[in-house]
Amino acid sequence: MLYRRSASRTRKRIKLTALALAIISVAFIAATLSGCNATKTVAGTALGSYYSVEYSGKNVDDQIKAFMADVDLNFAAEGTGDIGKINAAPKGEPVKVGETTFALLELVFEISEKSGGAFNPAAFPLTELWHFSPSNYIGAAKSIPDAEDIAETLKISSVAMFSLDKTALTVTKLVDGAALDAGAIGKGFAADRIFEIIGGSGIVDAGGTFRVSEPVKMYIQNPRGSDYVAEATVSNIAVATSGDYQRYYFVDGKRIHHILAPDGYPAGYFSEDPVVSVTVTGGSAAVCDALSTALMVTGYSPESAELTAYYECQALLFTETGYYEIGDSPFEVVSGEKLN
Amino acid sequence: MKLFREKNLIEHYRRSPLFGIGDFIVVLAVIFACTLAAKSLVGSDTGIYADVYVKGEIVMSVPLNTDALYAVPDTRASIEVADGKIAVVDNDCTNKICIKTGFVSRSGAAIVCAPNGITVIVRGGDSEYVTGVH
Repeated sequence: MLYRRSASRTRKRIKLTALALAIISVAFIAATLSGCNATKTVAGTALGSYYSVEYSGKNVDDQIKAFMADVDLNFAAEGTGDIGKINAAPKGEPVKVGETTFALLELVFEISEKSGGAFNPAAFPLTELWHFSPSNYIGAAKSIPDAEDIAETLKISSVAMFSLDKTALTVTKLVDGAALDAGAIGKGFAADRIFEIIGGSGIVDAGGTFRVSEPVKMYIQNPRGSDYVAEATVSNIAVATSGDYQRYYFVDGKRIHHILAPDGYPAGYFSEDPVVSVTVTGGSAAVCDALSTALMVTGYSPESAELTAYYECQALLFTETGYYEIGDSPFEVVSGEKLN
Repeated sequence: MKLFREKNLIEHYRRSPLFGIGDFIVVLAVIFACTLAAKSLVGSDTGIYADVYVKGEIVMSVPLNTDALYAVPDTRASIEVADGKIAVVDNDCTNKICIKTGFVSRSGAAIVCAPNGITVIVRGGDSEYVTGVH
């Protein structure tokens, strides 16, 4: 009997030891696995702004950094990258570009056409004239350009001054002086590609232009203050904002900003209550980015509603007196009166 | 009688499987509790702070709960933390967009100096994000 009791105790000890080992093993495995899936953050500077990417799973930091360095070089209007080379080339000389740049330009030209030129990627000569290019913007000016200079520069500030050859991946300028600028779509385009690199799960912030998967709380910057004008919890969405409050200067008390309209003047220059900020939501960050610029130019109009609907997007257009809504924006405006 | 009961008990232990369903429930409960405890430790709120990047590399993280003036390494920029907010207060860039941005405080807010490759991003807290022009 004593032997049997002792055997029973031994079995109990074995059971307890086995249980403890099982718990420790499983906990160790769980801890290791959770370490592998921990959220990673990679950030840096590109495209004249910043980027910050949060994701989990396989480490693709190097891929993200390499891609952003690539587009930072090739999307820049000045320098030795693809668009810089196009801008520096004489008329009639085909300039070979990379597949990424060509894909960007195809989308750029499409949206430009759909928007009736409100989104104008060929406005770089005007951008230089108004002192908003990366190399001549200092945030101040004593006067605005002469009307004659604006009219003359307008003649070459059109996508019609370029031809694309998809087979050869070349871009040819049709007049000297014409120049492209991907500044109004580059961050969104990059955000979409980075979102693919991280497997479509995570948060990509390309200078305030977003692609997100899981629900996140997001705010729209107040264009005339340090607080926020709208908020939302968004998921599986792209969000982009354009506005007149980052690159601007004042001349005789009037705000001169960097988004230039087809008439050659800053968007809303002749309006009594111009749009000062536009936030577009949709499925593609590139499209949202381009549309936010186009709507800064068109303001609230049947054309802007048609363009937004065509790309299945939604938009909020803020003026200094209130806001307009196109479609059913996920953002709830917390400051300002609805004007439509 | 007592001897008979003890004998039955011993036989019961001898015939019972080494791990029963009850054992597995206990194991699962312990693992669940451990996971929750670990998650709460890892995910605990570390407060609002700002990561400062220079040319894509993080050079410093500064808490926003302590007022201070910092020199950004390898640049001529200075950042200031005051009243839970952060700003670039001095820089040798051409357009001063970073300084014009002023003080920011909400998680997700950012200050950018493109010419010098400096980015300040507020993080922590409830992980909020801000769409705007940068």
